[in-house]
Amino acid sequence: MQDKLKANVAKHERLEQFNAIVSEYEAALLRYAARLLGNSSAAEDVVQEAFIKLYRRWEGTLEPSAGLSAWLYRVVHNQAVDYIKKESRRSDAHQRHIEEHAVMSAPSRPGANRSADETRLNVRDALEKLPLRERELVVLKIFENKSYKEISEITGLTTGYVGNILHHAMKRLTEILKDTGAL
Amino acid sequence: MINDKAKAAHRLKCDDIRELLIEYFLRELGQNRSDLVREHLRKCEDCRATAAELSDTVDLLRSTMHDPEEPQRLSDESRRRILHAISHPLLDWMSRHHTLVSTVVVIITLLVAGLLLRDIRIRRDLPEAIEVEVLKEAVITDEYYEE
Repeated sequence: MQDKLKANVAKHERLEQFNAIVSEYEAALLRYAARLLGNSSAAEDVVQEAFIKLYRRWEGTLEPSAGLSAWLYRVVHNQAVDYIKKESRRSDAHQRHIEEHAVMSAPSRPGANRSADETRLNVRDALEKLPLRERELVVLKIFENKSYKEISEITGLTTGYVGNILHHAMKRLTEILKDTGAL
Repeated sequence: MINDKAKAAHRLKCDDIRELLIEYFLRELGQNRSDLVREHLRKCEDCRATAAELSDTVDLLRSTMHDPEEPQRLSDESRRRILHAISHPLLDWMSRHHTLVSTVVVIITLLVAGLLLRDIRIRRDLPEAIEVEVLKEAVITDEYYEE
């Protein structure tokens, strides 16, 4: 009886810790996934799966830490790769993507915000033209402001290789943005 | 000391410097290499132009950092799904593998139905078979006594 009570208390505590972790990381992970996938609703699915995996597989204490953060980003990346593979297998994927994109890209407000929306659209399009690995590094470095060391922990790449890929990605992004007239 | 750095910076080729530019802007270079890049940029107009372009790209990307269309938190529906998945792992597994679960259920149902049908047929045919056997037995017995 007492063992069962203890188990229930432990489960309740773990659930509370888990909720705190969700609140701590959800915004950053949603932003990261949305930029990788270019699709907010897919990003939500991917992040949701990452949190379920965290609860089931994370063996240590559920407390915010560099290790836990790197683990979450890695899972989101893997889930995003799976999502992209699954989507590319579907025959109507391209059409749906265009439709979703049209909805997401539609200027929501007229006037002054229009140019900000256009810039965002140009940047999103440019990012989508990069290979996934390059896009991932640009998002982690430029938007999430992670250090090379943190990126290395998330991606499993050496810091030297991170620098190398990022260099080429930024060069390519500059070219794309220049071509579209955003720069 | 400053002159040494200036000489070293001058000796570095433009290609070497351009390789370092992104790390320079993102503050990932150590102090010494940052000084070399800065010194080179001061003197080389071409590299300065490349650096300006790269800096503009970084600024442009960062200006779009706060996208109002991006969700800031998970929806209530997602939270509910997470909670359901962690509280009922078996049900969650079944709903994720619903095709497999449905196939197994259909196979089991067909097997059970097949077994039941066979059982019904045996029960239906059995009294007739027994009757025939009894009659045969009686005929044999009669023939035996007649002999």
